Amino acid sequence: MNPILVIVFAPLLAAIVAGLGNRMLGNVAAKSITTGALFLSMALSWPIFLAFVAGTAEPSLTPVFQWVRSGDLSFDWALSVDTLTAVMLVVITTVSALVHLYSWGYMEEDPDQPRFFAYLSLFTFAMLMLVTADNLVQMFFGWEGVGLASYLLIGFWFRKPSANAAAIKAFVVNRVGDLGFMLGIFGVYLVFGTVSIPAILDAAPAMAGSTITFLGMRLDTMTILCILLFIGAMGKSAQIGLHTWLPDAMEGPTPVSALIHAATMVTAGVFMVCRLSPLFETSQAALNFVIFIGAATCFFAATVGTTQWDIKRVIAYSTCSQLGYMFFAAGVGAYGAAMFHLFTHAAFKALLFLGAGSVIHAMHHEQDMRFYGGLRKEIPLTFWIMLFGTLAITGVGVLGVFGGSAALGGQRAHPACAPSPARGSVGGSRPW
Amino acid sequence: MSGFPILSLMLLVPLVGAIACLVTSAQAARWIALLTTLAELALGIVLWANYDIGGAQWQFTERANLFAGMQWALGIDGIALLLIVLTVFLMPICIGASWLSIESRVGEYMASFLLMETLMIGVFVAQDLFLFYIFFEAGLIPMYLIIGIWGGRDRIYASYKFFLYTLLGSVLMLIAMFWMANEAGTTDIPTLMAYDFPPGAQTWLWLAFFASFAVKLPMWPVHTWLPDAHVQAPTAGSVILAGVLLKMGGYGFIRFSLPMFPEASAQLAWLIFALSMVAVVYTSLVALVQHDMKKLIAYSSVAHMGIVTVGLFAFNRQGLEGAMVVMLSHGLVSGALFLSVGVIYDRLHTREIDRYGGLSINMPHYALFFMLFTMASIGLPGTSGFVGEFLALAGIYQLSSWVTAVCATGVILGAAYMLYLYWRVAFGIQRNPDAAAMPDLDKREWAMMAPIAAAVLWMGVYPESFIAPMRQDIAALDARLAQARPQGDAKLALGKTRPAVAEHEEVH
Amino acid sequence: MLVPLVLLALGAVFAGFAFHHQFIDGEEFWAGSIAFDADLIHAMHEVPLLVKLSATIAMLAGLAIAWGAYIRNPGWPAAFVAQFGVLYRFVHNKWYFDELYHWLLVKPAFRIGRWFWKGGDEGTIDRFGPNGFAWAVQLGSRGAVRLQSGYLNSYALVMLVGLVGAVSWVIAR
Repeated sequence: MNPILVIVFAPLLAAIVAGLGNRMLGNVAAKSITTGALFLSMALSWPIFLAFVAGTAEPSLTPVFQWVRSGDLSFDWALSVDTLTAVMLVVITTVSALVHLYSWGYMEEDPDQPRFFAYLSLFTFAMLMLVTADNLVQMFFGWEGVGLASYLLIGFWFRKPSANAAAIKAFVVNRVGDLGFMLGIFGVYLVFGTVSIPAILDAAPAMAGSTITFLGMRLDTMTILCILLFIGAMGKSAQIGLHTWLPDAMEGPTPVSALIHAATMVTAGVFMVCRLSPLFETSQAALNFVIFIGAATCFFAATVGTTQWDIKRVIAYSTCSQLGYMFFAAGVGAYGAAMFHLFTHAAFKALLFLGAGSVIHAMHHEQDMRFYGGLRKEIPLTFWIMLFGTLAITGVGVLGVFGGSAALGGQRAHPACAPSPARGSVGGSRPW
Repeated sequence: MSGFPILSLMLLVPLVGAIACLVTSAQAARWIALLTTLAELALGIVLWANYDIGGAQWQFTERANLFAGMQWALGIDGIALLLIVLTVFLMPICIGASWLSIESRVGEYMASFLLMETLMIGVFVAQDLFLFYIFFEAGLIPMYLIIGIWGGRDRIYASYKFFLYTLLGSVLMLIAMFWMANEAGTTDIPTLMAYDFPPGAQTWLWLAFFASFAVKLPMWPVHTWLPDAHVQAPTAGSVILAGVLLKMGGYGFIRFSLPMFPEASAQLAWLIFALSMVAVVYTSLVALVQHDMKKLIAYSSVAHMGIVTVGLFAFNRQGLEGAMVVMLSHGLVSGALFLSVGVIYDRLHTREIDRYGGLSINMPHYALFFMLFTMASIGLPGTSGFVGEFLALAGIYQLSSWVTAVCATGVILGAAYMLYLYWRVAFGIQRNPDAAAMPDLDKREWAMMAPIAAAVLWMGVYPESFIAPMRQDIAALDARLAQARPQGDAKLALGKTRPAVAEHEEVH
Repeated sequence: MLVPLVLLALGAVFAGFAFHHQFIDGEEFWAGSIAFDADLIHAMHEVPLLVKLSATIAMLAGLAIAWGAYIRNPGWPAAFVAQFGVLYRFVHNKWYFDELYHWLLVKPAFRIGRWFWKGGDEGTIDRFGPNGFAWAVQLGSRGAVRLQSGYLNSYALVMLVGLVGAVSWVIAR
């Protein structure tokens, strides 16, 4: 059996078994099944990634079955693997497996554990469908699927009104972005007559410079298509204007924040821009828009992050601004750098959140940092781990790359952009 | 299968069951109705299995002369087949939903339902203009009875409204039908579908049919009968009203307005678009502020039907197929949502949203089903709601980006009102002790919910089963409409200095 | 809970070093799965040292500010807030995005929805549509009042009479 099928569908099966089995199955069985499935996916993903690193792997496409045929519009379920997907596979499966494992301890006292683990695995499945998509509609399927899982997990503690409000806000704000994404897909179909990603990327250069009417305005075709698709990315990746859901999403349990709202789902927008990079390359105006939004988000989130009291919100704003960096890098054309930052960010941001989770756990669910202090003696290992994460985020070996690409774009953002997240993070981690 | 009058049999079986229900005791009537609808479901499956995809356009045809030049002309194409399958699929579920909640005059109630089944199937199989009219109009009588006798407190007002709206439309349609029969010299629907009416007359004929179908669908602003009818109808009445009766309007557009009057359809498409855009935004906003669960879902139905109408008048295959899939999906999903309301209404006897809360604590299985149907209503990919909505909007985008953009806001608003409803019903704390004490789904309710859930997922993941039977018929309709197809507003123009620009941009 | 933390910590520190080359310079590594501009990457390596260090410098500046504000002189942030109250409130309230959206989108959506429902559906369409019709009928004819008796058979009868009338009109014409 093709390993990619196991990688993608094992989490789905585990989610169904744990979710429907729920009470009948019991906590330990549900947790073992979902965590086991994720470790299996992870174990199968790393060889694929390493084969791409070694240069021995070829891109592959595994058809699953037919989805929709309507006139000349057709799209199927299929799993496509190339270098970009392989990178995402290891990021998703590794962080997800570790978060599953972490949640054994974190959610130990929760009465609803099978449901929680089923949601986590469902999320992982949807995210894997997103990154293995061969056409825009399957990508949209994954896109909405992770949105559903995010909604369910933010509202996991559904007795709390604030959790419900945050969950609905996350879903609805994302839907605003999805409206752009959908219009973008329709436009792509209108212009190229297909929604298959490789076919679009091949045909895109020939469309550069063409014009189209959209909402009564005469616009450059590639610019409007890219901007519409990018609006989808803005929603998912919490860029300025559509960012409001991300800080509120911290209502969810902390492992969720680590997996979904730091390491994987929110980076889907960056992944999309990189996946469609040949499309974006055909329109400088669209790239400028990406640069502008990235830089603006970066600055905005960094300023807000410095003044928040809730430990998780600080990290959320930091995520927001890091995503801004990634878009910035993509906008100037350094897609490899954007993916590199996505890759390392997944590790250190998940680390920071899980560390924050340990602190919150130790502080009996107090999240207001004004009540913290002297925790270094209470939870020494967590102290060192948070320090690692903070050092990583504030630029030991990572951000240097970014300074470079940012300068190259000739569009250096506001000088405050860079120091602010650093200040936020260091300030945030100071008490330990 | 050739030669066996299966369509006549499908019309006859429920009729016999209806008569049997009238003369037996309450419990016997329930069983008779259930067995009859199950037999009808079996016939529907046989029909589907024997339908030859890619074969003749009209299959299982039957012809016999009746009085006064009227013909007993039956036959189906793929479009009708799917709507028949939807009808026979929902009927046993409706009988199940009425099993305990209807206590008075059970025999008459079951008879009304079975009679309605005959008439609904009749609408989809009729191939004679006047036969269609009889089924189309008579189908409402059992519905009047169901709302008027077994309905809620304001049932009289609701049935009065229902009656007034539909009467207005049907009179105009009947007049148009007489004119058409006179002009074309035939009442045979397949012949009329290929007949070219003079463009001047088409406009008036189109408007007359529009009056009837717009009320049935319903379109804004003639939708106000629907929330009242739904609120007052018993659960099963709402299921069949949302599930099948509304689809008659869409079926009418696809069977009559579009193929018979293509020029008028193109000429008046702006009217459809305008009303649909208003419907999507207006009714979505109204749904947001409802306190009554059934009203909320009724308003959301109007919004979904707005997507159907824009898809139908997109004049391309994605739009038409998308509109059909939305109709099928909405039949399942809104039916299931009304069932979900019925399940808790049976326990607490109120539709006030605020009386519930925290149901996922004491009714986890119910909450799971309700979540699935909510998501399907929102149009989450992987459920039936997405496929239709996506195709319909992709279709209309080729004609007008404005219409698409406005109708797609329904995607945002739909998520807002449905999730807000779900929060107030299933999430949050248990506000009322009586709601907190409600037991989870019993076996009967499982048997009603699970098949719909399976169908919703099936249609979302592998819609080919549902698109394949109608593909050829949609293609034929598309070819018929080609002569009148309006030009899209996109007007894509290739750039002149293309290669130079591309190279320049690579360099930055 | 500690095992995943340690593993992620190792990843956070070493993932960057291990794969830096492939991600940044690896045109062969990406193998066409993303647009790769070799000139751009080449130019990136050529930037002055100061640019490469700019992020690190910014980080150190941030660290210095944090050290100053939270360890050396903990009273300093409060003084800053007192000095720049408006700016602080603006930032602390997240640039008022939530308030703006609530005021601009959420509240109007509910208000317009209620207005459409009460003013549009009930106040206009129903008032001049079915209710207006009923009112006209009641006003015009006492006999018609009895038709509003609520018995469905009378409605069915009206429908039938209407249909018959329409049909006879068409045929007679």
